[in-house]
Amino acid sequence: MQGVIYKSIEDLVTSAHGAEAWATILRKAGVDDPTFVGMSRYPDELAGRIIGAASGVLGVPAEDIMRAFGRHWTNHTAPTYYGDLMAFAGTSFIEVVSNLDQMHARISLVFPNYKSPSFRCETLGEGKLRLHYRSERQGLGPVVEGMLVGLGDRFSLDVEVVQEKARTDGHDHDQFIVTYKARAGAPG
Amino acid sequence: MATEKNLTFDPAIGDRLFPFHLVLDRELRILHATPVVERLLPSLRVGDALDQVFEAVRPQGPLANITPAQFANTLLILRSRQPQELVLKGQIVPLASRTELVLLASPRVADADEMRRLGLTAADFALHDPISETLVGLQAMRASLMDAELLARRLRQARDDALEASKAKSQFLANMSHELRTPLNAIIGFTDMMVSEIHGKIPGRYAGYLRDVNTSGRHLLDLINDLLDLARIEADRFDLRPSQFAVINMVDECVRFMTPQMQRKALTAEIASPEPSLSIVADERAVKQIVLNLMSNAVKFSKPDGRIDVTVVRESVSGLRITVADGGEGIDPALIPSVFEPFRQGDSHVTRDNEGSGLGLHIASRLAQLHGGTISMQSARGAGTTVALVLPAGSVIDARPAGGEKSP
Repeated sequence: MQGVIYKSIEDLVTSAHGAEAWATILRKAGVDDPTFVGMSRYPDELAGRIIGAASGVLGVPAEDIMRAFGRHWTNHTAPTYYGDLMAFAGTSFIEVVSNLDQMHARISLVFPNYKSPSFRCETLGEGKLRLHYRSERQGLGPVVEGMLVGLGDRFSLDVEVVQEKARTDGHDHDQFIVTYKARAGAPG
Repeated sequence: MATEKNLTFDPAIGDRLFPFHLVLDRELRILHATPVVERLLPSLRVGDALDQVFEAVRPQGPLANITPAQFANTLLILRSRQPQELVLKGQIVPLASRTELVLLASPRVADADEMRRLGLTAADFALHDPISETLVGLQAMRASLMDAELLARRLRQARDDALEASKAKSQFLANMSHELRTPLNAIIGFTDMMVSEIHGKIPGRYAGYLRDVNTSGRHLLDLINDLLDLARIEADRFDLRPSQFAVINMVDECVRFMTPQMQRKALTAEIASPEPSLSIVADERAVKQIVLNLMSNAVKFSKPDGRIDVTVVRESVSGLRITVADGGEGIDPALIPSVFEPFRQGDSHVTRDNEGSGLGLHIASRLAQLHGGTISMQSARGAGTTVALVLPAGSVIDARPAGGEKSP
């Protein structure tokens, strides 16, 4: 199902920079076939190549592209492809974040080859939580940040994410402090 | 192990593990409903009779008639009588006290829409409940279908674009070829007249120039005719006009037509056929064009003083086979497929020495296909080339009085 990830990046890039920019990125990343099939598997390293190429072509830091992808995924791709699962995951920000691990575990039961990440949520009081993120893939912290901000959009919340620990700094997992509050002007 | 110690939970834990259960007395009155059931059926009250809240879809008939022992082996399907339709499936079993029963059930959820309509989320289900995996599977299937539809749409669009572009290209070629032929015919016609000196003698040097203009004009006309034929074939506008004709006569005409070119290289042509009176039903002009194309290539690639063999044979399975063989340089067998592609010629150094549009074999091959036939080539460097036109058996007519067997 990694194909959906690449379709999402394609959608993000083409909507903001046009199809030509996406074609250039794929060329730079050495991708011959520009058609990604949603439910197909692709090598993990491909994502790194595409993000790296996108960073070069668009002149945007790779981490910012990953954050933008995370937010785009939650706001556009997931509702399109996995709208029912999103609805099933919960009706509030905290409920969905608390169910992230369960949902990913269930996906890995259905797709045994899917290396699903693991999440653990600690509530730290009203509007604040700590999220522990474990994945076989390193360096995806900014994607998680973007996804949490996108989830805030879904529930009309302003979400701030600070990464406390990162595997890229030698920690055994990534850890985030997440604060969220109702967006000004949003219906209570 | 003492069985009465099994499955005894704190009520709150029981509600979490079996979020859709109801505790009943022996008269099937509801003593307890979980918070999830209460939320889904807000008018349900403790003390209500089970059949007052639910109608039994299965088993049919009054539930009161069923004994506790029978309940344990009976799949119940209960539909709520409230407007918010909730269908529970499960079974009734006695609790350890034996004075109370419990309906252990889960909602029947046919699809994600039903889940959404009921307002159920992951938090409403026990972790051991496989319904979430079912939902993941359904969602994956839906995502795959969306993907397949998108890919099919893109493929259709790409096909339509390609067909449209091909049609436009063919139309352009047809129009241009037609526009170019008109002035060319004038150039060829008038230079013919001038070269033949109908209206007076042309000074020597200019006569030579006029011959060059005439020859170049004819060559250009051949190229344009090739393009026009190709455009017609590709636009499916090449209509075959089948008629019955004697094959040897047609081959003989082709050889005669090629005689001037053959003479320039001192070539001879031999026609051979075990059945000289063979007739076929086909578009004579198209078959003649194929044979002329094959002969033209044979002439081009033959060494001076060489021989071209044209053979006509009837075959029991494949029908009619016309082969044109030359003793020229031949080409690398690996290059054979490319010589049938449009605008391609097999061997670049040979091509440079032999002018042509690179369309002849492609057109011949397409004309053969229009007849349901094929063209194949056998060649090797230094061993000459044999090209075979095969027309289907159905096109061959029984022998009729001999038409002629000739060689120039």
